[in-house]
Amino acid sequence: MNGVTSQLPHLVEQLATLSACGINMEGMGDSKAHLAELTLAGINEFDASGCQLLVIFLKNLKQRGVMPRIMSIPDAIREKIQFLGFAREIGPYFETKQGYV
Amino acid sequence: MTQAQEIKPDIDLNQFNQVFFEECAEHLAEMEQILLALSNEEPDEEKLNAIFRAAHSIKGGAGIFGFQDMTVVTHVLESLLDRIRNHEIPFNAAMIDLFLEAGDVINMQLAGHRDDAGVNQDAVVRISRKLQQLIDSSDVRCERSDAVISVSSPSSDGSVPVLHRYELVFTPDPDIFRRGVRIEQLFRELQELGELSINAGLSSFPDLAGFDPETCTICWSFNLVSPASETVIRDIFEFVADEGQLKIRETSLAVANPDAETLGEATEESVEVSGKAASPALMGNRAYDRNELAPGAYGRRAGETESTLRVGVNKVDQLINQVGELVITQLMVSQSASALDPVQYENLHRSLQQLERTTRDLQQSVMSIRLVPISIVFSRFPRMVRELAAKLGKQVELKTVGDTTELDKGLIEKITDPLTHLVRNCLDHALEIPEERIAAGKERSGTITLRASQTGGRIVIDVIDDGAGLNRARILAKAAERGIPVSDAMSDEEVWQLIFSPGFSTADAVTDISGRGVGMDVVLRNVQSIGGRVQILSEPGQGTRVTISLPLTLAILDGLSVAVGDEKFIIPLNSIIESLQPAAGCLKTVNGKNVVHVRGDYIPIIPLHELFNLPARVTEADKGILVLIDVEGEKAAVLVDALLDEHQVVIKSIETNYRKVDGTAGATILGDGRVALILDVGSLLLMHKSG
Repeated sequence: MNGVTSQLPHLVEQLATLSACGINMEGMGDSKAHLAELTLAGINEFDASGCQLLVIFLKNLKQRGVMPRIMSIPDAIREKIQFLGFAREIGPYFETKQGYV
Repeated sequence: MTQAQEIKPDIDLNQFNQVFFEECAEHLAEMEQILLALSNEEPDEEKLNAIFRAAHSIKGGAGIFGFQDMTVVTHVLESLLDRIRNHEIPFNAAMIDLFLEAGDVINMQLAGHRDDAGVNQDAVVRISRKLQQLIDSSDVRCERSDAVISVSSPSSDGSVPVLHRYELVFTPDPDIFRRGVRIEQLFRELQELGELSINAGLSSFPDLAGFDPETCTICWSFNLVSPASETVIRDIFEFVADEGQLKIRETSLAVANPDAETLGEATEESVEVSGKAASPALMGNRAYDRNELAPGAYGRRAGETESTLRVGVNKVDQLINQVGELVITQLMVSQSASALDPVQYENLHRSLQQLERTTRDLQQSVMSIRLVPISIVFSRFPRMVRELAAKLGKQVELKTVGDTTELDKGLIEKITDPLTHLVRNCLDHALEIPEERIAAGKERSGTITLRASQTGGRIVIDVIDDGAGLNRARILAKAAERGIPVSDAMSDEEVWQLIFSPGFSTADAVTDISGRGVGMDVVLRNVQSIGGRVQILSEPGQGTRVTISLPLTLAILDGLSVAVGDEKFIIPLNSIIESLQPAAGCLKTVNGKNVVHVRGDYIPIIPLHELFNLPARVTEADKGILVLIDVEGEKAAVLVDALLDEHQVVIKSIETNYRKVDGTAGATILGDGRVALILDVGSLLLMHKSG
């Protein structure tokens, strides 16, 4: 393995660690600690496998009491997520001017 | 998060592309073969199915591997073929040429991806339009053609397409990402069928720790409003959805109302699409694939898919090379053991004999993997002959004999161009137009015969025509014009050899077929480069036969090892007539050259030590051994110190490992670990002649 795929296990590991942090943040009494901002700025490509990983990450965070928010999402990536049918799973976490969609 | 499945830099997509390229070329060749065999007759169902299957497989493969441009022509072609085999469009002979042209365009696109060759987009558009016109010109309204009709447009006969509402559930294989399937493309194709909404959900909720992001746990559901049939939808998923992975339900009755907005109000009556589609056994399969997949269907043998394996040539070559090394090692062991007492070490000697037999068998088996039938080359000519004959206004019948003759894949690749030159020459120069043939008392139609056989340890390929034959006087005149020394006393065989001179042509006009004089010398050079020979026989008014003789393989050789001084050489066994110790009285000198008198013939003596500048123990012919060799009917006697042994040697390229050595065809490693040069008797004779 090399390139992007070789980095995936590492990425998954980091995401797992990140989502597990939510447990530690729980009960800290700080409501801000329950929000996690995830920026997608600079992402050029996104496919079904990426969507799946994102959904699982978001669900993991949510399960641990952390409310994720997806920031700076490029239009092309937003369209791709919708096209691949993930609007219902990921869309609620998109940042909009009015808040979340 | 930029995890681009389509880019996949960790996987060498080229190796998969290569598989597609090969399969696509095979499908195109199969399609062409069937089309040419039709001879303007209406194809039967099996043949139509086979052509359809070829087009369909190319389209499917192109879609999967991301060569979307290649799906354009194949899609329209497939639609047309489908309608023909359903008797919705009548077949006519002109379609054969159109399909052949479509095959050419797809081939061009294939070459564009495979070899970075240029692609003429105009040709793509032109042929797609021609094929589409045939579909459009049909008066028969066919639901199958819905795939090419947009949702809102009425069909060509002015009627409104029937719309269906489908619910699809697609639960792909967990390894679909790993396989590099382009899901987006799949969805786009679906989108092209009509109004589509997509919803993805996870079929399970895995914990991130230990999750493999390349394992798909997604289940997609779709709502589709489209005039397309269920078959067309299944067609899109054919290569990605196995049985049960794609479920389709028609959720409302078909409507023929052009107002699409009424669709939402259509009766929400759930109807299974049809009895046949509802059958669980057929989920994920195309309905019309059932019979095509049956054993014995056109071009398909029972259990074929299980009995063959596609392996890269490099792997096979590596295997052959390793077995070659094994043979050499076995020889070394045998040679070392030969010094041991045969009685005391009887068991060892017996085992070594067994090892030798097994090693030889293994080598033969491995070598046979590289053997392919010559029909691979022959099959390209029917098309060429058909087109060139039409262009030249000639009637020509092409016969092939010995199509199953097998030869090394490397030879196949190198023999294709020379054979193409020869066949073009037959068409352009040798065969007469019908009027001339009739005037000469021949059949209107000329014949070109391609014949392959295995004769005396060599592959012999004949290109025979029943045309006018070579014109001796004209060849001599042209040769004289070009400053080549000629005389009327030259034998026919010598005269025919003149046409192998570079740039030699007797054609009055240069055509785009031949006549530029850049053919026969290339033929000879290419054939000689693979250890082959070319012979010509011609009779005025009767025709010409060009015979190409090739070694069976480029990897092993039966040879006789001979000693010259401290060096050892291998002489190919198939060129040896006999060996002899000449009496002094048989040795003569003619024109300053030493010859030996053998049964009435004076045969030139080639002293190897002189040619290779070696210190030899024997310099006088009557003190050494003469090995008589035959080169294209010409004899020579090679002077050596001693005959050593007969071997089957593994040929190694001396150019790759050292440099080209004149008079040799390669080298081999002997049992004692020493390198021996393999003599190229043809060039040896030339070296001797040139002094």
